[in-house]
Amino acid sequence: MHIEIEFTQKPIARPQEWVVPCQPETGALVEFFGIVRETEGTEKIASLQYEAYASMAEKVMREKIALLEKQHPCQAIRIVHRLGLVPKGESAIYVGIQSRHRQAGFLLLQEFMDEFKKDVPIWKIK
Amino acid sequence: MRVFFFAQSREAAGCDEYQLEVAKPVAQAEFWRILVAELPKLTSFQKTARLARHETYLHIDELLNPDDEIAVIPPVSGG
Repeated sequence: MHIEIEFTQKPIARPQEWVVPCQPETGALVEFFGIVRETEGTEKIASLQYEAYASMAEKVMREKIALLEKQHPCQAIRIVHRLGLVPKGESAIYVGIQSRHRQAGFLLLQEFMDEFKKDVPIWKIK
Repeated sequence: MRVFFFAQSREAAGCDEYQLEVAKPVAQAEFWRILVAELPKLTSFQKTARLARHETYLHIDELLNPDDEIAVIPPVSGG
């Protein structure tokens, strides 16, 4: 599976431009934008600060993808995580998945995000 | 042993990295005992943080060697 992983200090563009566009056999493009809410717990916030151990974060993501794609074969995945200050209403993460059929894309996205939240060394700091 | 800190553990340690003197391989409990004795503000991280070597999380029973580079990984919260 083709993998694109980026860390950026800049706003995550909507829509996203992929390095590798959809292929002739791509039947589904499943996308997720994670957005900074106005509240963190019970506290109103203007922004969140994100920090990463970037090299380990990329390694862990690639390991997760390698395991998950055995169950949910897809064609490509693109992950962009913003670092530094992210104002409320803006995206902290983008995950896009290209697949032949929608089910594999939906399942890979759901399970990847669950694993991401457990193990990928990125932190938000209020 | 070089110890690297991130996010909240860096704030508690007051530094990005710290040289910890250990003479022989140590279990993780012993690592924490020595580290917290020198950097007491890291006490709460003993129960919550994980350790990584070569960008890989350590299993609980793996030993740490004197020449290792160890990352202290507080609970993650990306995405």
